[in-house]
Amino acid sequence: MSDDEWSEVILSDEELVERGKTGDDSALGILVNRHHGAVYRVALSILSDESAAQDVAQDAFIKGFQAMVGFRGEASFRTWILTIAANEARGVIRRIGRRKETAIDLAAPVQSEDKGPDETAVIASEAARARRMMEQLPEKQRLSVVFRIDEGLSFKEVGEIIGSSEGAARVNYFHGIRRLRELME
Amino acid sequence: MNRTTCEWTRELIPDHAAGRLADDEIALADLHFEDCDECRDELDLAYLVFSSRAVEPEDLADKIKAVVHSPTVNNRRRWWGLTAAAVASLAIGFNVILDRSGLPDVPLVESGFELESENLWLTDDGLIAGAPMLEGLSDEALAQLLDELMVGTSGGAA
Repeated sequence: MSDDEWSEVILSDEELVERGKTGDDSALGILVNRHHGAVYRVALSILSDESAAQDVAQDAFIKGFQAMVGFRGEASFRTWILTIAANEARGVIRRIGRRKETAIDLAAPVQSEDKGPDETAVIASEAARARRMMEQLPEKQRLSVVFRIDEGLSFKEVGEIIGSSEGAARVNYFHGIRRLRELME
Repeated sequence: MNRTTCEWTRELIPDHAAGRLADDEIALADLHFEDCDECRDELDLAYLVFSSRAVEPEDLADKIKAVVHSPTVNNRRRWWGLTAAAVASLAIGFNVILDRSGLPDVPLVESGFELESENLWLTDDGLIAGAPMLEGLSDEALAQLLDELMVGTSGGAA
């Protein structure tokens, strides 16, 4: 195992941030490897535009690393970089005036041993329908559902990113889930 | 169904659907699902949501790293760090002066409010206050700004 691979396994985000502040590019690369997927999905959930979401993910890391010297660790690095991405995406919407309405490239449901191809296809179809229905949720409800389920963020982290309290993020999540169930029926 | 058990289980559902729970938590939750259709339905829905999450492009990480490690961005990062340090030094200096003037210790930013409006976000671009104005500057402009700041802290140019 190389030094970089070893660092990727054992170092925490906080340790990587400290190394990044001293100009360690490999530490920054590991942070990108760890968080680019979540950053991309946060941007995509706000923009609904794959190309723009990639640009926002790139800009979020550039701005985050440029401002890293001011990062005090009061929030986790993940919450911090996701907040930058969310605000970048919001800025794009303000500039272009609206969200784009396009089908996005979704993950295929994992084929489990106890599900045949037919059942897997049905689940895939229902999953795509669920994602389309989510577009009808108010933004904070939609983002709370996305961040909590897709990224496993705590309600406190969700609140920090969407600009709400932990309690409000929890309420937004459960209202969003309830509304989504109604839409799916 | 016991309301407390439902509440406890519903907290776990997102992580259960995404496979992020420990085995003992899964076992406890699954016991509850056997008797509670409401929670079971919510788990199924969470699974559908998680199954349909977007996948990032394979080459995205490499693209980001290429840009982040580019000489232009690296230089800007270095200058930004120096400039931020200088600004911080100035801020500390001002704070010392203000403390001596006997002004009350009032926080500059009120933090005890809630941003509940759909259109309110913490900042325009996620950076700390003051950072965005530095972003558009060239390396030369940043160097000039740094020089001015250093002159300012040393008591002024001759």
